[in-house]
Amino acid sequence: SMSKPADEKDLVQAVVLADSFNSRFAPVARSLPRALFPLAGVPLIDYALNCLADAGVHECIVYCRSHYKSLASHLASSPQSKRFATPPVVRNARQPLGDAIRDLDQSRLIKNDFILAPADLVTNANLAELLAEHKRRRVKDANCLLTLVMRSTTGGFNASALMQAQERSFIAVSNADTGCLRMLSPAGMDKLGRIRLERAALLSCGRSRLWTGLIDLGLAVCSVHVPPRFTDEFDYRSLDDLVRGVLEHEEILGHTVSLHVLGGQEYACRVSNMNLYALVTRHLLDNWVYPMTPASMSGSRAATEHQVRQRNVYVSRLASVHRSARLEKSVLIGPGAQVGSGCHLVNCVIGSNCRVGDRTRLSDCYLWPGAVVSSDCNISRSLLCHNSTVLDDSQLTDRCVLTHGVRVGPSVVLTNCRLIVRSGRSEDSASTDEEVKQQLGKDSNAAVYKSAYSDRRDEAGDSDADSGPENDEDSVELEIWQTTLMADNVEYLSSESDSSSEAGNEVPPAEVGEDHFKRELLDVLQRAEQDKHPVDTMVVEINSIKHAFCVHIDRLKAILAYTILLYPLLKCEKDDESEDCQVEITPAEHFSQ
Amino acid sequence: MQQQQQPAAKELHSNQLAMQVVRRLSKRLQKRQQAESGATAADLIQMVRREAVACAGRDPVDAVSQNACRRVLKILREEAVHSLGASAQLLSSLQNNLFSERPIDYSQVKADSLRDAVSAAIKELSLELETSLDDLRSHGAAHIGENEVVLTLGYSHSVARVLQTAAATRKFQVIVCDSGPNFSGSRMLQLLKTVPQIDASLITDAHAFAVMSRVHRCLLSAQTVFADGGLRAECGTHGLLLAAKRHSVPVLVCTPAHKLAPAYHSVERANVYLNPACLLEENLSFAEVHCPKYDLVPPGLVTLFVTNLGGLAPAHLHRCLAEQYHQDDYSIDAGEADGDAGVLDD
Repeated sequence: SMSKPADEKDLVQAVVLADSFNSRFAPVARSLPRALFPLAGVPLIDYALNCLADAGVHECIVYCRSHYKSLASHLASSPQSKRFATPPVVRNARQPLGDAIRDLDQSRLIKNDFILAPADLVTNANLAELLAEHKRRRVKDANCLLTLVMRSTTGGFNASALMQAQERSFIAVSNADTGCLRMLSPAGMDKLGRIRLERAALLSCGRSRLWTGLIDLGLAVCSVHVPPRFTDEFDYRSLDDLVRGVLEHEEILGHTVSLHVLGGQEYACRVSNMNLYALVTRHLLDNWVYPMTPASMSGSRAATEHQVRQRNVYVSRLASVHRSARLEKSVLIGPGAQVGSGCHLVNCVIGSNCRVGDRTRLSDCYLWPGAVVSSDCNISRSLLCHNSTVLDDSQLTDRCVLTHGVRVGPSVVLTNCRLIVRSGRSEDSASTDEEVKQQLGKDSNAAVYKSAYSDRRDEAGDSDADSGPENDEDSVELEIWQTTLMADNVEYLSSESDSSSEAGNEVPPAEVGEDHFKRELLDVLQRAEQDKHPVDTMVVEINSIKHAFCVHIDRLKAILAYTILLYPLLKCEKDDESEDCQVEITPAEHFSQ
Repeated sequence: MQQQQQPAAKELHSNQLAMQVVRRLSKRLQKRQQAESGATAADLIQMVRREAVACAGRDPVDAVSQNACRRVLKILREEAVHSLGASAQLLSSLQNNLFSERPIDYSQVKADSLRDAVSAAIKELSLELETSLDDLRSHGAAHIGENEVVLTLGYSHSVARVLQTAAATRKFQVIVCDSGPNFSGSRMLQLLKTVPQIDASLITDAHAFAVMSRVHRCLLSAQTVFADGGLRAECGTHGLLLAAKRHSVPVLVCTPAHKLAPAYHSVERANVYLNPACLLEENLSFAEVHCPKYDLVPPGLVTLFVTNLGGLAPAHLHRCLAEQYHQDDYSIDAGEADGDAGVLDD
């Protein structure tokens, strides 16, 4: 470990946010904070601390909202925290990032430019270089408030696995020479494969560069002016708010944000949902986060701890693996674990002191310390938390999660995103006993998780448990595994951009409120014709009902054109005078405003 | 990341590394002898063995530090036997081991009596390590003839010095394979271009088979030499040696003797896996990408080992081993029995 530098100007500080303030890992994170989730046998926060320690950070301040004690005790004993000059300090923050940084400002802990990182970040990027670059940039341009660090996924819109698992990705426009950020927006394509760019951003930029498929890491190098800025703007709650605020009010306050994009050999990813947990574990085992390998991260006696076999198989020297067990590839077996005969393991992480019975097949599953799997089981794509048990002859396939201390009975088949918690502990409604026994086995002590707070669930559906239990459970579990949220985002954006498509390209979808608007518009035209209003009055009236009905200007143009063409036809029907009626349609100049 | 993850970036030649270890050990031995008056040879031997285990722990790929510890152990054991008297010396020879009734008891020997002899022997060892590269150069240069075509792979300090020494007296041609993904061959080429008598050219690894029929000799280096003639060498060596065997081209491996490990070759030996991103930028979920740093070359492909003690045929490696290390020190394990066969617990 290094010592504190004499000069305060050389002090390198980092702020780690150990609470992500969303409920992606809901029932699991109730007893164990996300920062302490074991990822390949090592608590998640250790990866971030490792990276910061490599970058030469002297002092680390960790903010958390809940589980203060467990986090503090972990930081006191972790081998990673010994690498800092002073051991990391844990502080409490009620709300997301905003409150944490306000607390920083009040307590006057920050002396220099600091690194802001989330606790669930796994990266091998060279943060020391980033910090140096930021300092150089500040020397040239003193208004640079922070350097946002994002990761690009190659291939543009061809989603790689990381992209697919993300909740959202970003598009940015930055100056090609200085890296100054001009525009940052969540990305989404409409049905025609187009994205929105702001003209103002592109015009004001010198030589601009367009980034697509950026992943938000929550990582930034902040200058010493960021905490006072948060104190001034008391409604800033996240980094997004800050960046947006700076970009919008650039002319007023003169601050700028820079963008640094990681790519190529630098790996960086946040473990923000279950899919990413699985993906990052796989990447870690497959050596993509070199030089952080499971062997090197596992503690002080690192190199002797694991025996490294071919195809990324790491077996702890204190584990006992039966000779006939087949460890095919990307397997990590922790100390004290036992693997029985005839097993077949692919892409697994077996935590410390776990037991795997005979003739069991495990693939893509993650066993936390103390989990027990009995014989003849077949488990794939699942997570078994601390001290959970799966009894004989069971099958858990496709994204099941067993939380702490759950026991799932013999000969049970669980598929498709089942979240199993201990019954009697969860405050949510549990099924009847018979159902439990049938679903989860006769020796189980568990219940299927039904969240009381689901974003998708209607109020009506809450009381009516029988009508759609399958759908509701699916929606909760899918939310946790993040399979549909990305699609939803795209849908939302496409409906907005649909309205901006050229009229005539496709038929604009009609909405319920629009009929009312059309009728109002017809009335306006009628009155205008009767009372011989000038065009200006008509325009004012149309504008006022546009605002009253909250119609988008492009929709208005379409509906107005339609209505004007419709109006004489309606008049003909009403008047019923002659068969061929000719109406003069005045030229477009009246409507050119 | 800490230094252990990038052994290549250390730029310490193997003999310098070995000398560091020996120096450290001699200091600790001296301290131990001064501190504890009742120390016996057994204690000292135990201490050095623990250091060997620690070296293996720090870097499983590095065999040179362990070998240096073994040399020191050999010195200790020899001196202990010497001081035990003539009868013990008789016992310790190879033939008599079969008939001896009890093993040599090192705890009989006091550490004080060994002090002078051991320090003198360690000084000799340091000198030998320091001059190992120079000796290697002269022995290696003798194998290259006038107007021959020599093939080599990547950058190696020993091979570069051998070629430079040979170029002092004759002209010849060198073909260098650039070994990906770090392309160290270009570094070798830059070095060889400064030598007037050498006509150096660069080819890709894949091209080696095609030019092998024109090559007179292959001159390579290895990171470790195993007791059965296998190698742990730079990635790409195995393919090169197979091509050489196919064309019956003699292969010379220039290594100093302290790289000779008493373990047998096995594909499960320690290897360093680098970041796959240097091969493939996008991590495709369906592809398994491995980027090993070293090749584990099976025995039977090398014609001659050129060491600082002279040329050594693969069949006689065991003799060199027996001279350098004591039989009891061949296996130094981490205290836990490993399932695999293999003498050295890598």
